[in-house]
Amino acid sequence: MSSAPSSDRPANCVRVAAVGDVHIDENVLGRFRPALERIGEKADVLLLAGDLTRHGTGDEARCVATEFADLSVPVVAVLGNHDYHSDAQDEITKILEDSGITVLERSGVVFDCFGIRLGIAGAKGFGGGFAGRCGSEFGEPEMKAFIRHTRTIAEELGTALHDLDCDVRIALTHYAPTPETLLGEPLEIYPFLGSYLLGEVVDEVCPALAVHGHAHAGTERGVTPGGVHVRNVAHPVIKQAYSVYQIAGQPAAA
Amino acid sequence: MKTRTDVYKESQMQRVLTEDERVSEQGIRVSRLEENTFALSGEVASSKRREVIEQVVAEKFPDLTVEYDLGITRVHEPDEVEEV
Repeated sequence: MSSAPSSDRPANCVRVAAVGDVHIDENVLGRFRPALERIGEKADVLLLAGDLTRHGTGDEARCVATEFADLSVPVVAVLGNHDYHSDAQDEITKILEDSGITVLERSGVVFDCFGIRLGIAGAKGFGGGFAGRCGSEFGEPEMKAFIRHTRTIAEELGTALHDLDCDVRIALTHYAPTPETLLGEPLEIYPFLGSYLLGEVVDEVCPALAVHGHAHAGTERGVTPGGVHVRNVAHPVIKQAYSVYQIAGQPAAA
Repeated sequence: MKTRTDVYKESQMQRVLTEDERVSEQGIRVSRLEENTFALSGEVASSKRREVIEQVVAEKFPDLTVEYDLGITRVHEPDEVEEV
């Protein structure tokens, strides 16, 4: 896939727009669109970091498609916990994919941005907590299933990140890979906001950026323990239609 | 000994905000200001959602006083690009 050029765009870099937790339904439809019409002048790709809908219904997914499809840049999304609420995640994925939005779940996609191959691997992720305060696959079946779900997603996200054939890598999740971008949230709910398992696989591959949402009261900027830049783009955190991150990159030598 | 009558109201309100299908908001903070008086703060995506939250909370907790500080999240274009 290739993207359209953005004006005033420095050479040897990619510009990534991102927002999460837009929670679109019929009452929100149309609010984002005016700010998206000129996105091609500001960015090369738009990432949607989950919680695209409120109740996770097909009708809400069609609202998301109306709001975010047919832009001048490719749109890449992961789903969030709200998008699973009605057990219609497969229907939502199909509606979004049919509209031209790429939906990632433990998978990746590569775009050609003016000679720089931008690779994005994405997954919803899940909770479990962070260093010293995390759950384990132990005890009741429900507890084991909880952490196993996170571990499985993290492992497969790691594989998807590793397998990207590209010059610049980005990890896209809904749940957080580091506690640093949760600052502002109550400490007690950190285990429901992310997991060190996501951070661990991110640090094994060291992408240029890790983007997530989910933590509405968190902080935009942080790093993983391994030093990967992390951005929490939950809409109530960034307080604008999307944020734009510029990442330097060199095309691979021919 | 005087017993608080609202000891579980914060948790009940937090669950209503998430689990009542008319609301389904996880990003609203509930704080107890004084006995039987609570504050709801945070940001929602539309004025309609703010109206529904106030309506549902009034319906579910008619005996409580609730102060609202709910903003509508802005959706303007970004002015800046951050170099990562």
